[in-house]
Amino acid sequence: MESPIHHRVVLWLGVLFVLGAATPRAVDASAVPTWNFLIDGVASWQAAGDIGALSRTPEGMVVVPSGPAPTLVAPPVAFASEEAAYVRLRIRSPKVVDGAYLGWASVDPLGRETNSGVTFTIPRQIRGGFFRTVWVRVADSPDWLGEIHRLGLVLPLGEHGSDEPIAIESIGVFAPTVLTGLRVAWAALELDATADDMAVPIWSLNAIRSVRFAHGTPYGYAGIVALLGILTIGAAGWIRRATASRRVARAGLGIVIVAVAVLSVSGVYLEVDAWRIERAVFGGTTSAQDYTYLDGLNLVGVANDLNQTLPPGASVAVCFFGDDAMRHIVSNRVRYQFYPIYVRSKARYLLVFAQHQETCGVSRDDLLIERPLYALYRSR
Amino acid sequence: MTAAMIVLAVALPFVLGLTLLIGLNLHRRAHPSLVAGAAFGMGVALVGFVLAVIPVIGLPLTRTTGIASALLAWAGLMAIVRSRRTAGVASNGVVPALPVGWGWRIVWWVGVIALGLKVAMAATRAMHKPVIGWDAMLVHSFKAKEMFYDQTISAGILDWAGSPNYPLGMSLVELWVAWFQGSWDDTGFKILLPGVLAALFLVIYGGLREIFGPIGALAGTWLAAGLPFLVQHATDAYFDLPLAYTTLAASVFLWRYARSRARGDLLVASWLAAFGVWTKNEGAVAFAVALAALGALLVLDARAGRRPAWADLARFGAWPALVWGAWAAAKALWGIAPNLEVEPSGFLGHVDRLPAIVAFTARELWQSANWNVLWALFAGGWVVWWRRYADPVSLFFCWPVVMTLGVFVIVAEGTKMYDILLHGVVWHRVVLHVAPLAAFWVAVMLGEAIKKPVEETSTG
Repeated sequence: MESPIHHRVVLWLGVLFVLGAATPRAVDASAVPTWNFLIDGVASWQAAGDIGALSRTPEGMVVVPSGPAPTLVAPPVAFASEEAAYVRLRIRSPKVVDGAYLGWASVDPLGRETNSGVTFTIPRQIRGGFFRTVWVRVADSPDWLGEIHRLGLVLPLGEHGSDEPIAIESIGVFAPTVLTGLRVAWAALELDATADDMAVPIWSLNAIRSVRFAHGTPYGYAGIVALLGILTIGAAGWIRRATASRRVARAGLGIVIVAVAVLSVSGVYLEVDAWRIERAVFGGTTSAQDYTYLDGLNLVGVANDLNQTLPPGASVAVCFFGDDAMRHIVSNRVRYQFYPIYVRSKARYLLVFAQHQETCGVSRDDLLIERPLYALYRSR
Repeated sequence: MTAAMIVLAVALPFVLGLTLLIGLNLHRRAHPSLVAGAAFGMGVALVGFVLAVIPVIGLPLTRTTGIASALLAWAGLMAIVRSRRTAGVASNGVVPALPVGWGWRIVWWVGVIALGLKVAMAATRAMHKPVIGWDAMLVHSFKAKEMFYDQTISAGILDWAGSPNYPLGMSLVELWVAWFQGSWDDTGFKILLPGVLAALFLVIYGGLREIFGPIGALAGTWLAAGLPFLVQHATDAYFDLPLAYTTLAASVFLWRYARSRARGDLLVASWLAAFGVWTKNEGAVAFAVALAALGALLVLDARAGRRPAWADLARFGAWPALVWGAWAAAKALWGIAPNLEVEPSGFLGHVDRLPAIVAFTARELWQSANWNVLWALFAGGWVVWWRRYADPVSLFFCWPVVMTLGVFVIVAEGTKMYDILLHGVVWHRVVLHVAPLAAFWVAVMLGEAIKKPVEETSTG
């Protein structure tokens, strides 16, 4: 006999409660430090080198670099290393920071002080200025021992450095709980990067780009699970007892539904994320009337302008597609001379499409360029 | 005001299509969702066909001539469809709903609202970003823009836009939207794509609802709605999603024909398949495959001792063949060459490409995030239900997937499409054309495997 659905709901809630209660917790969670720089009163980290300015803004702690390796030091801390497994950063960097270094000073059980750290990569910010979440696993380091009493962060920006500010929304130390593990696993899917690619497919060529998960392993497992589910349904047909056959078939269907549902939910998450990014990049309203058209724009002029250093102002994103001849773009079309150029009055970005990327003197890795709008108007 | 005109540009074809289906008495024989989903395609196809004829008869392609011609053609079609109507109510059976309790009703409503939000999200995304895809931008909508300004269709216009051999159906419908807006807008016409997405969901739900209860039909719809790449295509102006829609809707109505033998169902299938031909070159492959499936159904009829209605093969094929022939003649007249040269020697000389193509196909189907677990389910379905290979549902939804992919494997092997394939810009789109078919087939097979007797309720 089927149990009423509210009985099942109560049962599921009970299981979730038991699981939650069974989650291991840090011995003294309050000792594990977290800095949310959006909250007034939270102490800032201190500049320790190559930092021109360090300020608190509504977007967090903003670091303006002045050298190749801006360095920050946390206020003094004191917590047992076994209470923490991860350090999480919510950070926004205009460029990828390879070799970022999270350092710490610890005192081991014998009283010896050790300085150590781990390197990691800070990915480029999501288009539209969205922050990235970076989880750094510290528990695997053999030097993550004893009591931790100092933390520091180095952001190596390369030989030539950069003056583009890096914003840090929060830095937190996290205990090795099941919940933390789930959060790390979720972040490892890098769905925000996938959504970024869906929203502004800068590298797209002659097609809507495939939806690509940065890490496809869970996705691959879901496919295998779904396959097993449907094979289970098939196997149910071999069972002679009707009741057992029905139950096995339903179990198989349940497996399929769970696999489909989980990926469908992740799909919805991606769509919402892509929508957020598109709003930020393309202007934020949904009215097509906000577009002003720049028919007849001379792309050769634009390309030349791109090579100049221009004062700051409204910015544009320039995308170059294909490798066909430039003449296709600048031919003498009187009325609709060049089609796909449009400016949105409220937008920070302008999209320009050309076919011959080399003409613009940029490398393929640098196709998103900020330039003032007037350069484009001037070339009309 | 502009937004209202954009909505009107989409609503008018929907109403025209709906009245055509009502003329066929389909509103009494099919689930309302299926009628609504097909109505959008019927109306859009009407616009796409009619606007192409206007320059041929020497009239300028303007808003006045366009709307007047569409209404005239609609009136003529109403007379035709009323003569083809199939009398009766639910001749092929709309399955009553499950005796669901409040729990399932909540599930159903949550699922339906989530589907609606998904379409709304796609519409919002489509309308607040410019056209980005290359062909969408510099071929399809550029042709529409040229036609908007020049008020005609000519070889020069098509050549300017590039890829002049691409069919014009959806470009003409984009032109239609621009007329309603009153000026050219590089974003407004994108409303068509979320419209197609909604129509696709309605067709899937309505088609499944004719054999399953509301929960089963909704679950099957989500099998397609959860495909990320399908939804992503509703946010730009490529025409792969419209082709996927026409292919699926034509198959749903052929499947209905297999059960009802109603000429009205065949007419709808033919009309939608014809618009597939007029939407993309690949529509001709979809049509040929559907024609083969219908032929197989009639052969099975003959083997079962029933008298096959061979003339229905011609009835289904006539309209798509006419569209294909007319477009081929126009291209020949204008000296437009195909973009793929197909020669027998090409196929024989490149057999060594096959392993790479098969590997590429396997990667797209099994390792791409575009399709969730659809292809795992499809492959598992083949293993589990292989004995049902000759069922109508397999003829119209499963075999077309295999045949279409097979055709493109062969084309990729023997033509320059191989290079395009390796660039990764074509195969996911080909798979999109058949993904809704695969989802529909899996949904039907899964549902029938666990189906239990159903009774009527008010839900769904």
